[in-house]
Amino acid sequence: MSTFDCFSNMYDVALKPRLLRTLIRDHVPDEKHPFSNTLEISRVISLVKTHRLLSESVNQFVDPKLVEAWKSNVTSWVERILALLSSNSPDKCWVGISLLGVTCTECSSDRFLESYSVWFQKLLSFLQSTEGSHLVRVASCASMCDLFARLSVFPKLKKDGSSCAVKVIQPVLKMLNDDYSELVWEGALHLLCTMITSFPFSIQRHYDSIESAIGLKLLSGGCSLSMLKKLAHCLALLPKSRGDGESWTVLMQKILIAINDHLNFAFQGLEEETMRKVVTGLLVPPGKQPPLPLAGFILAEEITNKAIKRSEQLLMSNVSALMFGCCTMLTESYPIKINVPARLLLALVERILMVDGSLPQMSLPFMTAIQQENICSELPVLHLCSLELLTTITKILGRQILPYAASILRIITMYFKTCALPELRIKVYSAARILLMSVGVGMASCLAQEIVNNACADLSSIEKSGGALNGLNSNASTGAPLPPSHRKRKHNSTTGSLQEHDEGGGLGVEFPKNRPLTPISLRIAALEALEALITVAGALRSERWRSQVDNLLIVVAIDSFKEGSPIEEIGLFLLNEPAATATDLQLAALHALLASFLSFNRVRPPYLAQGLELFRRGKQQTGTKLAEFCAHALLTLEVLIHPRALPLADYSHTFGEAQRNLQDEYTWRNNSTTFGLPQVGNDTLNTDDDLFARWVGNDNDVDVSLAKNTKYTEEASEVATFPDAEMTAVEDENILNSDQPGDSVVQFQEPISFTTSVPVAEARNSVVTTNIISERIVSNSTVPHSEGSHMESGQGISVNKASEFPSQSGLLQTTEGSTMVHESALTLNHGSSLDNDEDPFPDIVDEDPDDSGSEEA
Amino acid sequence: MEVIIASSSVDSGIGCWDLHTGSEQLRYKSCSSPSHGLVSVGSRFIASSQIRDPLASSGSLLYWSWNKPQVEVKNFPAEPIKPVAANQSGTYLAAGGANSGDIYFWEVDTGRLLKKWRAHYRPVTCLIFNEDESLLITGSEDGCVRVWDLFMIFDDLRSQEAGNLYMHSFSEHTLRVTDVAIGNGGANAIIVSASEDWTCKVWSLATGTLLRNIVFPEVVIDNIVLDPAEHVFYAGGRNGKIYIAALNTESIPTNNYGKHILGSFSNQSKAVTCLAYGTSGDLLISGAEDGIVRVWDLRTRNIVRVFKHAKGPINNVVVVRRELDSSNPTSFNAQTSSRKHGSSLPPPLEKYPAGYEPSDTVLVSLGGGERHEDVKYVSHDVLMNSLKELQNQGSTAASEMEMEKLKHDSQRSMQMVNQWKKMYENLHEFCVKELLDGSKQQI
Repeated sequence: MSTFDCFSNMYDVALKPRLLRTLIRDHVPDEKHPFSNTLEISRVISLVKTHRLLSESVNQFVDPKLVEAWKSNVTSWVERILALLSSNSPDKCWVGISLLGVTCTECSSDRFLESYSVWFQKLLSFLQSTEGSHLVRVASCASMCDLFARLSVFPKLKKDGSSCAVKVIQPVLKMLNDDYSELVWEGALHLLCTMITSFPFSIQRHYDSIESAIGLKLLSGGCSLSMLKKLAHCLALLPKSRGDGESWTVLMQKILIAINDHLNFAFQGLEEETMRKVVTGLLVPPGKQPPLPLAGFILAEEITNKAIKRSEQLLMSNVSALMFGCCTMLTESYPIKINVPARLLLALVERILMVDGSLPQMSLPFMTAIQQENICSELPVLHLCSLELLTTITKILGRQILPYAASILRIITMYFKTCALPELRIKVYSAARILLMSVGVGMASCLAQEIVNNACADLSSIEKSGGALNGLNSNASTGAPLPPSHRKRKHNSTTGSLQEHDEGGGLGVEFPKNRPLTPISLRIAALEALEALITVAGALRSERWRSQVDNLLIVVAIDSFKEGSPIEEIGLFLLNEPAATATDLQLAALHALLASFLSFNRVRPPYLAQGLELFRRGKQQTGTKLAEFCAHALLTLEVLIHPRALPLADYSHTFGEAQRNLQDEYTWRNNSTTFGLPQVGNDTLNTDDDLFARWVGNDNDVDVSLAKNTKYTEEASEVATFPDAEMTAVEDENILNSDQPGDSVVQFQEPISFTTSVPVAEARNSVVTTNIISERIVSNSTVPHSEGSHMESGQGISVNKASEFPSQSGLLQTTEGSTMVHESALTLNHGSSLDNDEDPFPDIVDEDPDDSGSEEA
Repeated sequence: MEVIIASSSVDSGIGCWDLHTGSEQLRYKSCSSPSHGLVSVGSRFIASSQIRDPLASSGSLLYWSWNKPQVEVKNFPAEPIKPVAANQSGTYLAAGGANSGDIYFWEVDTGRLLKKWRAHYRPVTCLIFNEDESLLITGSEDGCVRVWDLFMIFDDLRSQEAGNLYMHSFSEHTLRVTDVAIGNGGANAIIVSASEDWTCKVWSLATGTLLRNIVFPEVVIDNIVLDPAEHVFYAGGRNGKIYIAALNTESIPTNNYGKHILGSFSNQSKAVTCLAYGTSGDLLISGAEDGIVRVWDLRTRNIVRVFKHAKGPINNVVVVRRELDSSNPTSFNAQTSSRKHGSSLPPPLEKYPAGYEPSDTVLVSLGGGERHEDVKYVSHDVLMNSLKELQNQGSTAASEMEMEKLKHDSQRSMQMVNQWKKMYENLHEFCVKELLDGSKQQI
């Protein structure tokens, strides 16, 4: 290639061989030149990776000369690497090994298949040699790993790969047993994991030795926590190599026995005997031999001896690593179905969570203060692990959770009462959330009160000075102020009543001065739990907590939008997750708010206006997750703002009547937008689709009376009257077993007259609805029927119902009496007004106060 | 692939057809099922209760695997069983007793009878799971429709405290309930029930109230199926017509049928005995008393396929989505699983409840069975980490500190050595002196 033999652009194939050659010539170290600059190596690798310099992938149109050139360059690259491998200086060896690993992942399939066995031998020799620096070992483990990973892509080479893998196991085990640094162990473990998942056959002969090697490492201590976790992970993967149920069960049993032994030692004098007996009984069923201990007999002895000498800290880190191993075993995929010892695991979790470090009266003399201190210092970590295990069990049980749901619920509710650390509370919330989602509707009513009480306590610690809160509270439909700022959970085990909460919240006196703010992540967890609760069962038997939660959510959401709220998240010590920010809280609050809006099925959400405002504001923060979610929320809420009973396209054209109705409605809707009325939705409620009306409406008379007293639900109450009227219609049908269409129409007159007694803006609605209905009346009147008899039936019902529906009886009486004739006149009026298209409402507005007056009189 | 399975009350086996190609699949032998007695358990196998001599003390419930026409597993529950329902993943099987009104609840994989409870005064005619499988809705010959919270049923403590086990009990039907259906929407779902009293009723799950009563023109509705979008439901009548009734759509006030009934379609056949909905392609499948399964296109309301099943009346059609198990022989996992699948069917169902405690273990497939993950390479990351370490070597604060510490240590050691040296010299001197003195004295 001459100097001016330029190529077209950066995608030109010609670039690649050239670039590769330059790299080999100038940047890759060789035997003669000393290797000094480590930056160069990273540059070489990044270039090789970005430009795919080793891929040799060309299409058929490329000049064969070029292909040849590239090929030879790659060959010389490989040769250079092999030369580095056989160099004496360790740093060049290391470079060579690392580059070989990269080559394994980057080179073309043909080249890999051609030369992988040579590469394998080279790497193997490094793994086997007892000398060499740690870095060389780590690099050779990593490169070997990649070689196997690449091998596993080719199904044909399964056998060859397995036979290669067998050779690697011994050196790897040796590495684990010898005292090296954790870096080397990590590499070795990773290599083991790759072989277990990719070449399971190679493991089988060494299964037991691997198990005992890892078990020994795990239990003998001296590793960091992350190392322990890696060991546990590798151990958990091990049964996959056999793929049968037996080895999974045995390993699980071994791990659980190890955990149990540790706990027996640590919890001496801290727990009741019964729990220990339950767990031990489940662990080894009577009449069965326990399996060998995790790390063999002698070792186990040795370890327990050691453990007695050493501190409780070691015990606890072992237990948490083993429990992590349990979780991994449960979550990793497994080729066949497994008998998971669900009851045992739950009993274990319960056992750990029951221990809070307090001494039972009986065992005072057996424990020194130092022992207690040691245990208590480690308990939070232990509890965290058990909650994690609980969550995992809930997840994997999936649809088979039913027999166990009750005991999981018991554990969660019990633990909620005692738990006070934020990290732990976050975990309990997530466990509760997952349980709710997993069991579904049926579970909600049992878990609801617990979640609501706790979430209220956690969320209401926001400063109460905000005007938004006060304003809302006075407007709240039920008048129930916010739950207390003071955390009552420590002594609220028996009382959860609203009244008691009120006192604390209203006065706000009970703030201890040094009380820390609730961390953001805890608040997010509480919001998520509430969201899950509302999602699953917002409408089902929720009367007791619903209004409380709705108030809380709108307050939290508004509060999260306050500028400059002094919320700084202090990183939590146990969860190594990025600290939550105020934006996350905002997002969580809005998520929960949307769920609360959408799950209203009987009345219009009382805080919809404020909520919409928040969503609109959030949407303006373009490019953030918040804006995305707010846009979605506004779209979703549109359906709530304009509720609709969509017509069936197929049926409407066969019925001209329906179509005309439809057109009326559409034109009306178009008109109404010019008015900009937020209450647009009412129109569809007034159609004679009673099912729909009842869905949207509120047919609980207690609620109605409540709602009437407030500003917010005023329109809801008026909506609510329709279903009541309708219900009589339904029952009417039942009793008479008649299906005359006129029946329901007559019933419908009353609510209309009632509606028009509200402000003028809404009078428009009612008038139009009257039009629609009156039109139907006109059409219905062709069906011959005796109106008198209907009236009588209506009377009968009104008498029956008078005691139950005091608000209704007045209406019904109007129909009975003199207004009867008057009303029919009214309908005729409306019918004509539709035709001449004049604005009819002055008449009606005049008319209706009279009506309502007469009703009340 | 989506298949239809159909069974009849007279023994003509279970017919099975591909819904899209129309080709007949295997015909499974010796089945005479009662109405609502045919179910596909998690698409893994077919289960059907059997009509038996009413005097027989034990019932009969049979399993067929998809690829064998013969009955594979025979179960003999404590009493004859009529309706059967399985949850979607096929882990639980619920069945209603034909004599007592009890409900039996089995775990399929182990065959354990987890619960059995008295649900109705008269035999159960139909039962279904709700969308999230936490509720069971049952209809009975006494006209009662009940909603059961399974969590409550399984929580012994709570169920003892509570007065009655059911969540709702709807007793507005005056005659035998023939079918129930439940829609989507979690807690806000609706339940539709059909009865021999010529009505269908719509109930609200959230409030437990009657939302709508639909009176059919002097015809008994034997079966209902909800449109997935729930704007209408379809009701098969004993007069051979399939009625369309409005749920959440404009209802047309004047037509010949009555309130909320939008229309009907019919093929002049005998009574429609069973209905099912085919999710792909908006299809309605009906089985009739004349032994013919008809597939209707719901848009055009025309018959698109006709399957002849038997001479006798059909009483069950079920649409099953079957995953074709394409066991690729290369995968190790697939091989073992297919080997295990040799006798894939679970053990027979137990006759009597095992005890009040939940079982110790539960059979679970972990991690969703097989999963293909991308190959993950590590050497690049390891290399980068090592490089970083190499670059930092000698300059990091840590090694500097280490150096300082070492220096300090060596200094201290040097001091120590000097001290020792001094001490030794002193001692030496002393000893020499002593010796010399002693010798002097001796002399």
